Amino acid sequence: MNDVERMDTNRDRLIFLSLAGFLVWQGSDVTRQVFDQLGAPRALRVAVILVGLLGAIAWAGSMVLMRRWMRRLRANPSLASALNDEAVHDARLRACAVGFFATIGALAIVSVVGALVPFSARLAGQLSILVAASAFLGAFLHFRRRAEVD
Amino acid sequence: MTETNPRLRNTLREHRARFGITQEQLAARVGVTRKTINTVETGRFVPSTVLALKLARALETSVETLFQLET
Repeated sequence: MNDVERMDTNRDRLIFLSLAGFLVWQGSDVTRQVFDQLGAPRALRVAVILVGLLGAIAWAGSMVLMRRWMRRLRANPSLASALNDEAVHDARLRACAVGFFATIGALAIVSVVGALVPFSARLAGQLSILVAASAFLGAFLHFRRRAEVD
Repeated sequence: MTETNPRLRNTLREHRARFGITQEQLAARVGVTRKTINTVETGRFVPSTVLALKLARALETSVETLFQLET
């Protein structure tokens, strides 16, 4: 496996780690807010916070590793060019479209649910960002993984 | 440019086999990732003119030989 392939695989792993960490972190925070509103037992809320903390640590770790990955890329323009080839641009563009429509869908659902069950603007915003980021990253990984299928 | 185009066929795999090189080796020659070569070979991604020309040059053939429109 050459440098380009190694870095390409590393990118997918880092994006996956960041997505998983972000989902656990933000998902736990949303769950905690719902538990707060429902008046769930304290132990349950603490457990959710601890799970969220693990997610936050995983996400922060992925960001540190991603910075290191980017630094390696900046030091080698030919590597950077190969790793940002036109198929990657294409996958990124299509992932953006998926993220956009997922956000519109999430906002619509939040608006409808918000009309029936009142919840905070912070929670609505957080849910929208969670869906947008997850849909974009997940779609990008999906489109890149499809390239593996023969 | 992006979706699978049923009207565009390619003989990339055959030409690559004739040279006895892997997708990874071809990718290194044209400066893209192996996955990109795979998506072109399977018809999931239609390359730009520049990439098509690079592929043709790397495989010592013409773009018309590598890519054909189905009639």
